[in-house]
Amino acid sequence: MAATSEMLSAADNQALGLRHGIPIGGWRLLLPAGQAAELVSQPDITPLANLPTWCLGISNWHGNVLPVFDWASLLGATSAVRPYRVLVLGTAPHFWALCLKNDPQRLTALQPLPLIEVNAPPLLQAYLLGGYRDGQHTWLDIAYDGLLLHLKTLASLDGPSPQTR
Amino acid sequence: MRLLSWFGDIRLPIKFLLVASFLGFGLLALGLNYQQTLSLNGQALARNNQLNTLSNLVDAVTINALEARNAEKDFQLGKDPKQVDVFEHSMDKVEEALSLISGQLRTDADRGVVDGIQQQLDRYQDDFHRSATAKANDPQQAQWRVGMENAIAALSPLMERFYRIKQDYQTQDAAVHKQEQRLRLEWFAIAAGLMLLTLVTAGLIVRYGVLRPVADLHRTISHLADGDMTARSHIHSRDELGRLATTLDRLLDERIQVLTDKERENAELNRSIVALLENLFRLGERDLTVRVPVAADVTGVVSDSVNRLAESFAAVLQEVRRVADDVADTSLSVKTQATDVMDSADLEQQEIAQTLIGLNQAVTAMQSIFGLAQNAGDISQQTIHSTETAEQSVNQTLASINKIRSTIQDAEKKIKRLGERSQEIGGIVKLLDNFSERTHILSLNASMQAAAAGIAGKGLMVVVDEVQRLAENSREAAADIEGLVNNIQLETADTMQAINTVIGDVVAGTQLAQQAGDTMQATRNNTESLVSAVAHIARHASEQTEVAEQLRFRAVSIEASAASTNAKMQHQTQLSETLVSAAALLQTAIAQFKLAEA
Repeated sequence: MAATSEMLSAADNQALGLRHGIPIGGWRLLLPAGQAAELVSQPDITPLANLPTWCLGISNWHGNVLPVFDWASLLGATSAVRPYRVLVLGTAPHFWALCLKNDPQRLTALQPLPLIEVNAPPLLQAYLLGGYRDGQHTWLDIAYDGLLLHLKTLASLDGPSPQTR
Repeated sequence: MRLLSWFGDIRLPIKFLLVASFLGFGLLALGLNYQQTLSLNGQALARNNQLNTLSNLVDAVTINALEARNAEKDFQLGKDPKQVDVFEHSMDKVEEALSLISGQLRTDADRGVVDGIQQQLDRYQDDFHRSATAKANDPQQAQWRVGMENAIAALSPLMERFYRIKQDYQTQDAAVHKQEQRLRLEWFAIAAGLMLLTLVTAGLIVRYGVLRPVADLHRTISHLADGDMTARSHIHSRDELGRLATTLDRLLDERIQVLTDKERENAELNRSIVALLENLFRLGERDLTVRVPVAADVTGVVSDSVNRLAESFAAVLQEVRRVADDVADTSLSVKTQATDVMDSADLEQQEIAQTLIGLNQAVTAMQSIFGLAQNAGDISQQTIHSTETAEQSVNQTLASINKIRSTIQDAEKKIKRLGERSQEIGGIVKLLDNFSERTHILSLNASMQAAAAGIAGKGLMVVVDEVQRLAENSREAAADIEGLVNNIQLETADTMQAINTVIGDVVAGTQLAQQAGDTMQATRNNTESLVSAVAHIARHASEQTEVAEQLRFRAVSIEASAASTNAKMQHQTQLSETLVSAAALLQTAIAQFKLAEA
């Protein structure tokens, strides 16, 4: 049921021609279609020990404890600086958040690209769903669930993730 | 004599005991032989004495019997009664002798002979007594005489037998003595053989148990005395001499080792001493860079002490050389300074002469100063009046400036309040900016929610767009207001700075005016002082003239003193030259020593 609604939302979005994208580490990623997201300004992030640098810690968002990541350093770019602007993604109860340097952008009239022409970093290559062009930049559509699982393997992250339930 | 080598293991007391035992046994045997010899000799002597006694008794019997016969014959012839006494006396002796002879006889047969003789003599004596006591014409006289003759005739063979007893006894004694001598010789031979055997055994014991080890020890010690240090006794017996020899060998080994070590140490010590002497010779050649090698023996302490002495002496010479250099440099400097001082003294003398000339001129000038001082007093009075007027003007100016300063301070306060208001506006602008920021975030979130809702979010997107425009407009307005406020604050700050500058200038002007007033006052005071001073100057000018005269006199004295100082400086220069040459001599003396470069 949730998948159907997500597919319908994705179709509607495509029909609307509206997506949102976030620039991270020199790359441009599209937010998952059909998933709600929320931008939070300067949340309180509690760092945890024995985590890689791209794991900033955990934060309380409306009573939900979610992990916060900084994918910029993971993709080879400079880390985000405080005060953080954090984007909460995922579906209940598996929420997670990304640290952003710039605000999400509204994207319309995206033109899909053949997958073979899409250039992506090696980390995201295995989870690339597709690529879109907005006239100037290329936006990558990523399977965030699989990527999170992979990252969990990398960091032995013991927290809520989309694949744990 | 390996068979007797085991003697070596027997302890010396036991050896000597054995030797003594053997010797004692031998002596015992000889002693027994001697004792037996003595016994035999005693027996022979006894027998000889016995024979002599027997012979004497036989002779006594014979003699007394003949005397009795003669007495009997004489009585028969002369019928002398004395002859009877003689007869009796002789017969008593014969009887006595015969009784003694019985004890000397050895056999019963011989004693039978003596009994036979005694019987015959008793018959003879009885017959004589009867004959002697009877009358001459007694018919038995003839019987009695025949009886006496028969007794005498019976005595003859007995007497011959009696004489043969002695000879038999002598023959027997001789045979016995001969036998005893042979037996004695046999026993002597045996004893001598035993003695010889014991002597040989004892000799062997002493020879191999004592003398030979002692000879080995003596030979070893003799070789050692002759310088053969390899000589050893090699005696391995377990008696006292063997242990002594073993100890001696071990002692010799230890002593030889010690001597060898001592010789080696002495050789090393000699080498160290030679090295030490060589280095000391080099030190004696004034080469203080020499360092004696420090050995590990006794000379090491001496070498170390010599090294430290050389180092100390070199350090002292280094220091002396440095001091000599310093003294030479200082002497040169002193000499140079003395020369300079002399030159300065010459100049000083010239200056003093010039000063004298100047003093004369000063006296003349003082007199003219007196006249000018009087003129200056009048001019000063006029100056005082002018100064009072200027002071009043300055005071008025100061009051105006103070008024201006207070006005400017009021303006500064108002501008400060204006700045505070602009800061408040800035705070409000920040609130607006925050509001716009949050509104922007709200619009983004709404946009994402609308995108997630799909078609259902289409209407929301209209609101989102409107909110987004509102946020942007708000942000722009806040940015504009902030820019205006910043500009106001900048201009306010500039205005404040300009006002502060004006205030500073006013304050400075006030201070200058104040200073001018003070200066005017001071000028007035000074002028008054000047007037009085001029009067003093005039009064003192004449006094100074007298002082100048005195100064001229003192200048002459100073000139004379300078000349004396010049002469002393020349003497000091000579002394400095002497010091320089002495320093050079010291450096030359030190240069004889070879020192390590500092």
